[in-house]
Amino acid sequence: MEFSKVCSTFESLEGTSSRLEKTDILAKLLREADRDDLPLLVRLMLGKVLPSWKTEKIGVGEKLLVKAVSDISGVSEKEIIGYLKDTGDIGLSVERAMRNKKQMMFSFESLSLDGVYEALVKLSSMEGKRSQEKKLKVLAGLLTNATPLESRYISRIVVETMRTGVAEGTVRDAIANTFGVQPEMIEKAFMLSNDMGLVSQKAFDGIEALSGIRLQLFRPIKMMSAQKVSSPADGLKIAGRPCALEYKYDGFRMQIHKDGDKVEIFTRRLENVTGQFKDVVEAITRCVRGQCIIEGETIGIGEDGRWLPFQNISRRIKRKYNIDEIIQRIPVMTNLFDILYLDGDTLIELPFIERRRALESIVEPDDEKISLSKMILANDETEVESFFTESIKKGNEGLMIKNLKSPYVPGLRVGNMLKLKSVLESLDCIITGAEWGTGRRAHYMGTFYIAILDENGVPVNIGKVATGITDEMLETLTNDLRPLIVREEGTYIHLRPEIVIEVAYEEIQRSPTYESGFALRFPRLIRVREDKGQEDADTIERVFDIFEEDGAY
Amino acid sequence: MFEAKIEAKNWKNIISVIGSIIEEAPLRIDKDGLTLRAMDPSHISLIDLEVPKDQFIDFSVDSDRVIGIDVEEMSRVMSRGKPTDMMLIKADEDNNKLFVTFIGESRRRFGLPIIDTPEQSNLKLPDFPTNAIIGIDASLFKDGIKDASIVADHITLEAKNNSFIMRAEGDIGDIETKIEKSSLVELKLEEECKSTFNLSYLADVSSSINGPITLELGNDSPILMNFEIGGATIKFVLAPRIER
Repeated sequence: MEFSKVCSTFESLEGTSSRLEKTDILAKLLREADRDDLPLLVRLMLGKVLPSWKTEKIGVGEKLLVKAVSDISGVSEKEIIGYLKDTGDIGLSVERAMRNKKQMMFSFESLSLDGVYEALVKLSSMEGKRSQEKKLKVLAGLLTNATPLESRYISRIVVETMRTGVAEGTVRDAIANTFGVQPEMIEKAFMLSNDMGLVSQKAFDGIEALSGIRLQLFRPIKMMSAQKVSSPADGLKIAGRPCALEYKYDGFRMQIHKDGDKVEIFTRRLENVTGQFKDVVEAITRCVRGQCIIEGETIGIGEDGRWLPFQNISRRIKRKYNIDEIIQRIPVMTNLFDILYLDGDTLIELPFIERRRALESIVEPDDEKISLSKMILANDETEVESFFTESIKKGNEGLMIKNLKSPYVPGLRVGNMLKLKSVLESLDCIITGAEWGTGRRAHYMGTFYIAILDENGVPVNIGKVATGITDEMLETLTNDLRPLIVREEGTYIHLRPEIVIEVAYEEIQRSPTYESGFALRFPRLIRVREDKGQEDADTIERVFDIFEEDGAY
Repeated sequence: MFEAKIEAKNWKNIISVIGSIIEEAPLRIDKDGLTLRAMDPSHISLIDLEVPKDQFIDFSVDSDRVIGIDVEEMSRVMSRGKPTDMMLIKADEDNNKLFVTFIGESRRRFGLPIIDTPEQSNLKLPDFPTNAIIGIDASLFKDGIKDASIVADHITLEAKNNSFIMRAEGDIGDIETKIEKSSLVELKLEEECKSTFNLSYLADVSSSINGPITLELGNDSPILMNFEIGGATIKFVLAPRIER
């Protein structure tokens, strides 16, 4: 497929905010695509380039891109940075530079979708010393053949700020439209595979192929999320009586895939962390039978045997070296609570209580490394309250409340699984910008600009947070954020929106100051959520719900 | 079968020029010698290189072929050669390997992969009007380039009134180098002319040249640089920048 066709589609997407129109525009492009083009096309629609299971990054910063554009256009880097200040958008700035191109060239080949992808894969595979120089050449080679409009999207793609404003649901509907299948079928296939590209290809092949998509070992799927409730009564109302209560461990959620001795562990962001948790792998192999996909919450154990708060083990997620040392220093225990797949059968549609029984039948807990999450059945509020108090005393965050009949629904926060927490209200926000600190903290980023996700999954600002941050946290955060710097303007630092933090607040207020239309009163940082990605941040919908609810009394 | 012998320092210089333009080079080998024609990834410049058979100490090939090399890997190997070393190049195409053997006090053999890099077929040297031919010593030319690099990323080359002028202008200042005909190797002027070029391309390609360079210059037109290095005859063409 001609890359220009893809770009003009993206351009028309930018021109509309209507979901229906977006769906039509996308479907039109999908209809013209070859089978082989579909996966990439669908990923691009969702603002991604590489399949989600790939760990590589394209690794091109704005600075390198500007240099490449300057080289091939003859427009100076300074001028392009000037455009960037005018437009605030790298895509539009590069496009303008390419329109003002002064450098002549000897030949021009029009770009194909394949060709662009090939170059992007090449970029993502370049690592180590001199890789920046090499990337510069590949970028220049790609952009030199791009029309100004194409250069707009190539730029956004390579610096990974491609925001098409298209939600997963819109792509799902577009695929359903294009191939004449029910959106629900697409949704189901997506849940099971977590790969919309694959789904589009199977939809192309026909309904049979589409319904043939199964859960696969070692291909993680999105984890079911819990909805927050504010009282035992609410919990019982939504989950039904009797319902299951479990400790809400203050740990780290894992999806564990196991086939005999082979075990792989994935985070909520579907990152593979098997290497960091060799101790868990060993314990799972010892205590769990069969071929299965199970979930659990892993907590750190202190010297006195007490359960440690999440922060203590969060470092283990990132640790890439000296793993044995940290395994010794921070031992963990995994509390298993769900099963999705067992010996060839997909269990996600089974009622919760049956899944729990299946889980119990294959786990032999040693209660040191592997345990089943502590669970009771409850009928009334007093039972919920006393179990809640017990759980908090043990150092947990609160309770999980589960409907006994509910299936496992990947990704969604529906009323099947609830959480009741003791701490005050908090939101998981994405850091989109920062300011350098002053005085003693001048080398660290001090104030953080935070965002939540809008209807289309685009981060929109909801405020800034500067309190609740220890020196140690500041140093770690600064180090983590440094590679995400897009550019600096005065003391303000534009950051690639990747890091998620939990922010506590007193109240949500309406505010014209921030894009979201809301602001947080007295925000303070609680912790960094290493286990969460941008897409796991809280949404405008939830903020609106809290706002409405809080206003009710 | 392809086997050739050449002085290591000559091959090193040839590789260094190629490496300033492209990262993967399809070397064409036939009974007359070795040739390469390629365009850089940005399509701004073109190189045409010829090493005639008689520039090699030994040269034998049984049939025409193209051998693809990773230029960076090759130059890393070449950095291990000693100035007085002889060098043997031998292709083992069955195993996709190119062997480079340095012959000095010892024999050191490096095996490099032969890579798959297709020739840019039908690549012709572009045809463009030339208004002036300037023969200049490499060191003078390189000085002008280095001076210009201090203030700008582009340079204007101009031929007029029996002199050759290299001029650059940037935010922090400007620089002009004027070379009279008497200091040039040659100056044939049909008409006054000037064109502007990307500096880094000129700097990279000229960095390892030592002898004279012949420049063919026009008005807002590409420049052709003719020079010899390590026994290779090289034509390098660079597209201009045009202010609008």
